[in-house]
Amino acid sequence: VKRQDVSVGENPVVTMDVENGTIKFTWRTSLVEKTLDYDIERCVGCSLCLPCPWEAITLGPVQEKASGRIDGAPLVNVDPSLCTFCGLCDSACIFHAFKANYEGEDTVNEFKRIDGVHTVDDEKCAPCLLCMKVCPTGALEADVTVDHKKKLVTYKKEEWAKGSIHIDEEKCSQCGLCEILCPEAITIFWSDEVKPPDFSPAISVRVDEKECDYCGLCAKICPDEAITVKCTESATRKIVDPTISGELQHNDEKCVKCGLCERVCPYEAIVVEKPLEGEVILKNLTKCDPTGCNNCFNICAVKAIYPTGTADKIAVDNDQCIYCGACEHSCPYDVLEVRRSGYKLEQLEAEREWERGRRLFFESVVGRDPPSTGLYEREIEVKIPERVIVLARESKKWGSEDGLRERAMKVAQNLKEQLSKNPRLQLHIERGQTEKAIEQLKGSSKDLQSE
Amino acid sequence: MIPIRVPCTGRLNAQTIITAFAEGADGVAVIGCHEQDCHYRSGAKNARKRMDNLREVVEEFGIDGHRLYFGSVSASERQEFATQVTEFVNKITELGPLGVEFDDKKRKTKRRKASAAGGGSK
Repeated sequence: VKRQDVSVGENPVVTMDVENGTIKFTWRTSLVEKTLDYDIERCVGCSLCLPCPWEAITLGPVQEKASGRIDGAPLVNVDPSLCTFCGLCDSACIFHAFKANYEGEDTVNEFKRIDGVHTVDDEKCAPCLLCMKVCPTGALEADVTVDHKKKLVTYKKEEWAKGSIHIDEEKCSQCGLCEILCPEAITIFWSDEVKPPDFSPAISVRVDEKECDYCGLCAKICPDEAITVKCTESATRKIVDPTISGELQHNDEKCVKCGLCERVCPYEAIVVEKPLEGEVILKNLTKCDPTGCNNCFNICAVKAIYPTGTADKIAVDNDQCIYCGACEHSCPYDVLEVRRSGYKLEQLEAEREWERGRRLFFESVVGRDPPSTGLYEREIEVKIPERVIVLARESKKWGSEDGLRERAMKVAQNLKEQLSKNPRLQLHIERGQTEKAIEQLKGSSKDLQSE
Repeated sequence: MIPIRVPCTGRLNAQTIITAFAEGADGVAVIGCHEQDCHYRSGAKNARKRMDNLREVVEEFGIDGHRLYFGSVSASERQEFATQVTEFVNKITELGPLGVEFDDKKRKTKRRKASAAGGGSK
């Protein structure tokens, strides 16, 4: 498009399409194209994007989704007519459900976003299957190959051995290496779902002693020293030490940085820093009904909430919780409250002068009230001509004998105060939602009206 | 009459305009460029919308809507500027000093004090 082809005051075309579970919003003029993709499946209905400065995002049917009455519905609603495609929701979404693009490039790439850190130390990683099995979002994929036991143990003539094998299930972290080494003798019963508070990926480990020839290789590769093998006598055989090879692949887009992999890793190879800090407060516990309502267990993306089965009813694993706030909105009885106290920013490029406004958005994401004034405050020196000051002083003396002007001034002063206190009011006036603005203004200035 | 220069009428937000009333002005005229001439493409358009919305709000609080005036004058139309400001001042004179009226009773005291804010390059 040539620049001279563009007409002044051209109106953008805003469209909305649904494609493969993604809602695509597009804002297009002949010069610029901005898009916002919303992934319905990734969104958990937390409240992180709700402080949208344009109030374009509202919460959807989170309670209904948590209780299973609705499936596949978007959990937040984006009003494309209000959205300015600034990408702030993208920079706050720790589940990466939003994707904002500006002329085909990722909008957030140039700015900061709320995100944790997940690093894998390849030298320490063995690898094993443990982190992959416990990951609540399926962000880790371990491709582990261990030499098969039958290739490592070679007999000269006969195949026989005598001895004993024992697995200490208390020590065992259920990493699954022994099963790969020797699937004939060792069977691990994997559980379908990893559940708190212990987050163990398997129910139990069994040894079939008929198949075991007490070679002792499983004891050698066990990272927890949970297997003890005693071989009393055997046929002549040659045993080669097993080698473990493989790679742990981490999908940063899917990862929510809950830190469960860090907790379970037997080699301390994973370091995770959470995106948000805070605490979950359980109140109104008398109303909670963990047998009839499973909303918070269902909605929690990292499975940090679990029923205790005792008088406490439910408990929150604060080490596991990522403080997204989805449970708070899913609860029909206001039992849970998520209080966020801090956030971690991933700085993608150097901060610009005007990016301070972005920090204010992050402050409101963690629940701190943004300051009422000074939204884009910076120090500018302005020389004010003397004349203007004199006029301003004079203006304060304006008045009338009957006091009507003073009364009107009082009303206007009150309006001005309300407007400066609440930036949302100016937003309503800007958008033409005058009824909303009048309602709010009248609500807060009732005392003055009655005077 | 106090002329106040602003870089663009689009820069004036609701709070700024209300400030004039809070300081005791009888009326505020925001006069800027024509909408189609806007250097920033939508500044004048936004200003007009904002003024229309603000007028609705202040009327609800008893301030006459005619006290808020929005006009478009380009930098070369001196005569037009003078005409619009004169018309506005006459209107304010007719309305009298600033006051809050919650009924239709029109007060007709004569007072001359109007504040006009001129925008754009005037």
